[in-house]
Amino acid sequence: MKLTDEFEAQIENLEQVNDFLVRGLDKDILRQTVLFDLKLAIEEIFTNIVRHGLKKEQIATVTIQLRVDEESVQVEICDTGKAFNPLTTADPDLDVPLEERKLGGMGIFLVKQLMDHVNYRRVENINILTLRKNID
Amino acid sequence: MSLSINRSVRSPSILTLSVAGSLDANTSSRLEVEVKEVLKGTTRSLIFDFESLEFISSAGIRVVLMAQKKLKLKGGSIIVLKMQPQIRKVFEIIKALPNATVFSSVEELDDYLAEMQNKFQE
Repeated sequence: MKLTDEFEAQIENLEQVNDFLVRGLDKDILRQTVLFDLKLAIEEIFTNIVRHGLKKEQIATVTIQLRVDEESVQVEICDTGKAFNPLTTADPDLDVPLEERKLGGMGIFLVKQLMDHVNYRRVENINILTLRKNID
Repeated sequence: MSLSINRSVRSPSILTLSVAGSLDANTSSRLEVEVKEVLKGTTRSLIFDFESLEFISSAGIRVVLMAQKKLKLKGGSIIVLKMQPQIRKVFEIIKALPNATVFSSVEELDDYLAEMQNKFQE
């Protein structure tokens, strides 16, 4: 199964992104936790593109492709914003007491923890982030 | 999925926010506004009832941590009640919840609050 859709990079479009995810992923087959983790990961990547990947006034398009086979769900998220590898974001220091902790970097850290594989590459002027979540 | 927030006052210093639906990048600012409003008052123990919370992302977690930071400065604390396993997992990954402030039932919470009350009176 393969499904692709395009979204303008605006935070308001997150709901459309979620609807797309629900359309693409069969709730009857996939466990609830797999859906939850994918929804979270895609939201973090999408909001990251909107917040950090765009120059002022820039309009960028985010293309999301879902592929589902028997073993895993693979997600490819492409955007036309400036070159930005979210995986280089520093992980939060979890040993620092909560009250003193910086709140940044948490989203990408969660993505790394919840997905089985995460990869970034830049091809010509497009950022391509791929996620894989195993179905076990 | 939308977000609904219900406020109920238990005592002058204890207040519950029941949060249902999805705490995501689109909705969490509404909880942030609510929390900031609550923290202007006399609340020292802010209870987040997450029984009907179905989704949370880092945007939602940020609001909970912000509440914890601000309350700590006033000598208070947040309490989290009835988290679904997936929500709990997200908090655990970032080591965001010291065990003492998480309860899985109202009874546990009541016992805890009664104990706090006793300590206070002693």
